[in-house]
Amino acid sequence: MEVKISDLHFSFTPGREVLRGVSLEVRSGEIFCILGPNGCGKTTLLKSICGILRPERGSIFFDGLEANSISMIERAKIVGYVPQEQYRLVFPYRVLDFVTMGRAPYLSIFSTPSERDYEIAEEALKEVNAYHLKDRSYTELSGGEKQLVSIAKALAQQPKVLLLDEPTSHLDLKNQIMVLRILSKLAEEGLIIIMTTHFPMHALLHSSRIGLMADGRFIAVGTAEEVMTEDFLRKAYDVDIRILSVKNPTGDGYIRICVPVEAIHASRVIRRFGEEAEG
Amino acid sequence: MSRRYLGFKGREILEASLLIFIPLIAFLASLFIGRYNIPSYLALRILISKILPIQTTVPREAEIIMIHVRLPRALASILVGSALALSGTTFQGLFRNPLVSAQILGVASGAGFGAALGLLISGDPVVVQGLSFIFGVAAVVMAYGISRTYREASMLTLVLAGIAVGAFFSALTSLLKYVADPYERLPSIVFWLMGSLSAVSFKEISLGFIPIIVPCLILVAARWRLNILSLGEEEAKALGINVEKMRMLIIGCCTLMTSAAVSMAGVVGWVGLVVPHICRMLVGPDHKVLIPASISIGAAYLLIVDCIARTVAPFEMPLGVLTSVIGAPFFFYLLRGRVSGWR
Repeated sequence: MEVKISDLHFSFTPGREVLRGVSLEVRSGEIFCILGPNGCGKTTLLKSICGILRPERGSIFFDGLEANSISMIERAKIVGYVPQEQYRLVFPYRVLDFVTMGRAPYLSIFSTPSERDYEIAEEALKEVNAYHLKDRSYTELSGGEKQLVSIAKALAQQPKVLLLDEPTSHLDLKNQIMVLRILSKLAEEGLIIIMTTHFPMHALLHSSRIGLMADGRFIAVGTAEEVMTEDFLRKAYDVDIRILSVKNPTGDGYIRICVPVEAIHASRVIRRFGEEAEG
Repeated sequence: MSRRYLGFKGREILEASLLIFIPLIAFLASLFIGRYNIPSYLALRILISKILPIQTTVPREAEIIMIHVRLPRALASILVGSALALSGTTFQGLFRNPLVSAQILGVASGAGFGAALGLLISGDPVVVQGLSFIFGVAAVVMAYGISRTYREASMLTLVLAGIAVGAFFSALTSLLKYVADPYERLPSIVFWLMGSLSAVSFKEISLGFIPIIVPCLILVAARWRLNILSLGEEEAKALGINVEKMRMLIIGCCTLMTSAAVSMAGVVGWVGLVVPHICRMLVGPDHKVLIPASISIGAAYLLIVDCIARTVAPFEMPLGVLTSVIGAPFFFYLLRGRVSGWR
């Protein structure tokens, strides 16, 4: 499977383009991480790929198949989308019922899910280690649990491409790691994963490739080493950023972390590190 | 098949049988209970003699009351109650708001105006019912049309348009009341607006039957899609659903049903608001079960309330008044209990 996007343009109001010629290629097994400042068009790009928004120009291909040439239902069988906000559900659906809604593209308007559909939903829950939640009510779940269940719902679509909009934003450290671990596993199983994030660390740690976005287009696409440079990050975020190499505390080699210069200058941080070193 | 699914099926069967038996019992009760006392063995015999070809001798009076007074009322209660409850549940899912009912788009105000107009110019029940139905549908068509003139036809503009159209028709109804003859026409308009099933005969039922049953069947068949729509517009789109078309279908069905119900029984409030909540407490929020439950409990609820309306006071209570008098406190009770099936 391969997703190919070429020269995508989109605007909400005429004359103000949010996407200004985005091109991209992602293959099976890759995690493609989109980084970029707020309002640079990350979410718009994801929504254009899954068909919620219709781009004005440019094309999207799934394995050479033009996205506009297939119906929305066919597209929903290829692309699963996990939105940024957790679902603000009005009705407290049971988790299994909620995940089963991912079967919608396979069910005609006048049918209800079969036992097989419920089984597929259960498998999706197992895939994200959330099977034990299946009889709980969605509205009672914690933020991390909701994120897992939302991913399971997208997996119930049996997609080949999974789009995730800031899947780790609302999560604590442990849940961030858990979600990223699951996404890595899914990618190994052959899914294409395209996600946005605000944590450059996540991009460094888990992605196969990174696209750095600014003002409606990619300013750099490539591996972490190629993209996560001080120059590119400064250009994208308009903030001074340093990439620090730190000796790996658990083994050989060095790990790279990025820190805004202001955080380095905040003497409080430096002093605390100093104190720790002395004590 | 694993035990899990047996348990699942077992619960479904229990729920299904309850949902058939509750309205059935209410239906029989509403045939047997009334001002004119018909002993239950006699009532049963009349009923059986109508279904099976047995010859029995029963008092003519009792038979007429049961078959020509109570039976049409009971049938009308079932139609009106299930139509209002079903469209209430459907709209709550569609608008993702547990506080709306089918009246939100101005159906009741439009239908009320149509009925008042009919009562003013003719008074013939068929004209009244017909005009009421037409104006009920017209009100929603207006609201929908107005909302579509905006570039983004959001649900919010639709609701706002519905409120405006409702207010417009309410004002027109007031105008009709003002000019109506205060000794003959005005009381009949006021009484109609309060809602009642006392004048219902088989003729009214036959007129309202099709516009209630057909949309009802469509909504039952498409009920699982309501789950998807209740996730929100973008999420439904991401699942490949044509949201705009689904919305039109659902609003169309609900409008036909509600207009037909209102044109038959007048403005019967609170059924479409309270019954969906009772059903969510009973069977949970999944529309796959909730929609059939709403039909069943809606029918039972109106059968029971109409029974009370006929028997509790020495005079006949207006049905719409009673559904609100019972419904509003019950609603507060639900809010207090926090077992409401939404949050």
